[in-house]
Amino acid sequence: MKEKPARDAMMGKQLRIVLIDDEPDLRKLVERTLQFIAGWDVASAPDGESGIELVRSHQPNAAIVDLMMPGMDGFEVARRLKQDPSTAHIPVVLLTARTEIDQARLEASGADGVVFKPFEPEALAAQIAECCGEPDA
Amino acid sequence: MPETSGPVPEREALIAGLRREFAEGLPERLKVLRSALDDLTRCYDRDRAETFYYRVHGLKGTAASHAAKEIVGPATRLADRGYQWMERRAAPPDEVSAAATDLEELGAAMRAYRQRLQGDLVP
Repeated sequence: MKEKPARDAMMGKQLRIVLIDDEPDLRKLVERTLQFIAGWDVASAPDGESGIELVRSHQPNAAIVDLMMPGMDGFEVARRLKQDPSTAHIPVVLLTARTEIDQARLEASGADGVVFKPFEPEALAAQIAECCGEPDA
Repeated sequence: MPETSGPVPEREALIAGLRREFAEGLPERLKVLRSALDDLTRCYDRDRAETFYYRVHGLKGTAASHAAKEIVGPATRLADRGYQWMERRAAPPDEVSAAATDLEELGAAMRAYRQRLQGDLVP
């Protein structure tokens, strides 16, 4: 299992995460559980436009982006973040409740990973750790 | 069960609190979905179809993450229907009528989840 070493590697680190999701209860779940299990600082935004601004200003270690949002979807948010030199280096993990994902759009977006809902907070933390290129992840 | 950095009882209390907050918001979510479906019954409008779809799709994902298995089934059916309406730019009356039945089932599922939470906050 990769999860434990990845989590262990993250525990001592004060990572900053930006979460972009239109679902308030999902934002609360991710914010509070990642803060609790990993001690990370999680800031969030309810839509793509404000989320991109938050990523630019916050310069987080990773961005977690819901795929299906009204207006700008997660693919487009990832694509814009990866095209912007000020945010291109930030790993982007897409969150989705859909069972299938458009692989062509996923590749074109430049996103670094996908997490399917429902998820265990520990698994989400482990995947973010992997995307951040942590040792043993 | 994977290990966590925090004590397990504290983690369970955190999850239980989040689930309680989610459950408390369910009646309002149902009201919004009913209103969106009523609007679609009167006439099709892409913005209304989008509102309906994104609301119920969001509910589906959040419910699954909160182990609200009663809610996931009807929410998934409604989300699939809403997605089709959005893509086809039409909501046929017979499908809207079937969705109204699914919405009643969703309401019953929400009540069942709330009752289950009162008995056992962490399944």
